[in-house]
Amino acid sequence: MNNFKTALENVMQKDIERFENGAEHEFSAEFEKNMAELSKRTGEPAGRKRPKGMRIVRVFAAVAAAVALFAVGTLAGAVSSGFNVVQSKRYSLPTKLFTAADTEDCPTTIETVYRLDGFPMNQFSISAYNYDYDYDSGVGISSTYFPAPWEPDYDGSMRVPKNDELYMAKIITLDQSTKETFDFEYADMEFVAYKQLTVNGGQAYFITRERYYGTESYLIWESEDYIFRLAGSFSEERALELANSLVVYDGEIPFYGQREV
Amino acid sequence: MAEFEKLYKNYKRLMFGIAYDILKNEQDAEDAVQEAFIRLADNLEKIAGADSPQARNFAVVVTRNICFNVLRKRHIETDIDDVDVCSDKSAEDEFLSAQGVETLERALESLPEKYRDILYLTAYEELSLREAAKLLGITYENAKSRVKRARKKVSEFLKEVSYE
Repeated sequence: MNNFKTALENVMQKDIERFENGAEHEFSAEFEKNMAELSKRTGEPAGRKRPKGMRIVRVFAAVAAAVALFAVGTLAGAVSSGFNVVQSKRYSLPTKLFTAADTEDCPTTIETVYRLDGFPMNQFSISAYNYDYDYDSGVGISSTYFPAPWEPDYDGSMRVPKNDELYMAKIITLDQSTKETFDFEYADMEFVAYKQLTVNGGQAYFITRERYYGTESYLIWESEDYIFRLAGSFSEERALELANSLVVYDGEIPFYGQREV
Repeated sequence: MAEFEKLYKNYKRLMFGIAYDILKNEQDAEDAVQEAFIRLADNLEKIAGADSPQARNFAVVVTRNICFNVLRKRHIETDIDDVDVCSDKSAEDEFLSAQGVETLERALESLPEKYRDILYLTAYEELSLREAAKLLGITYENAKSRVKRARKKVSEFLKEVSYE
């Protein structure tokens, strides 16, 4: 093993030693229940590379499942409200959407900031940040919308009831980025159902993902100049309503990073 | 016992300790550990066995990176740097290989953990950038950028040390 690898191994070991004999923590009942559920759903043995034939069988099984889901989805969609095709696809990594986005005449920085209309100032917060704090990744705008007014803490900072599941489930976030620097890490496309739509003539995707704690929904769409991503737990109708409610925001935007907006 | 169950039993305490150390909040730490187990479950095929050092190290790396994402969303993380990421990889490789283990350890210990972790995954575990990106839940571009920055920081540290 070369010196660099040895050094990496040694440093990792030192990192871990700090925690290996740490105090016992009694995990919450909810945590243990969720882990038991995850364990039941995870049937894959570790450390075994699947033989090629098995991989092919799994691909066919996945395709068959997708076709079945497609058929069910289409039927259900046709019955309910004439929805477009619902597909379930598996990607091997977070997939970049809008790969064909034409960025030639689009702004390379965020020149106009948008927010959702209909939320008063004390149910809303906004900030700018570097994606992943990588200098070259560009600047994004993120705004959060709360179901009830946030309360000021003793030092004036925002306080929201983090342990209230109902409250947390209703929080919506909106991210805005330039087309050039759109970072798709927020919408992992593995094992999700998605639907292609349009929002004001622009390409859009409504994505849902079932997690053990509920359904996550995203609406990602491109406008003429930017790409937006809504996240929360909402229906397609509500997502489209929100997407069509964008208004210009011209207030102050705190920045959590190095770069100016 | 199924592999996932073994992973859970072996490392939940370690992962919680790491998460709590970063997030300073029990509920957030539990959430981060849950998310880490989901990600490990999604990547079980890459893990040699629940009892292996690799499994333990993956558990650490994934937990840490989830916690950094939480901090980022809390807008608390501030390790900003201004380094030019363009670098000659082959010249760096040569330079790195020529260093002693102890010096390299010091260089690695000077890095923020997220850079150490990406180097661990790519240089030690020899995952591809895409595989590392998937494990960490970041894009390929972010992974590539992190590796470049990490290697650049290590090289700069080593150059400084060589002048001492």
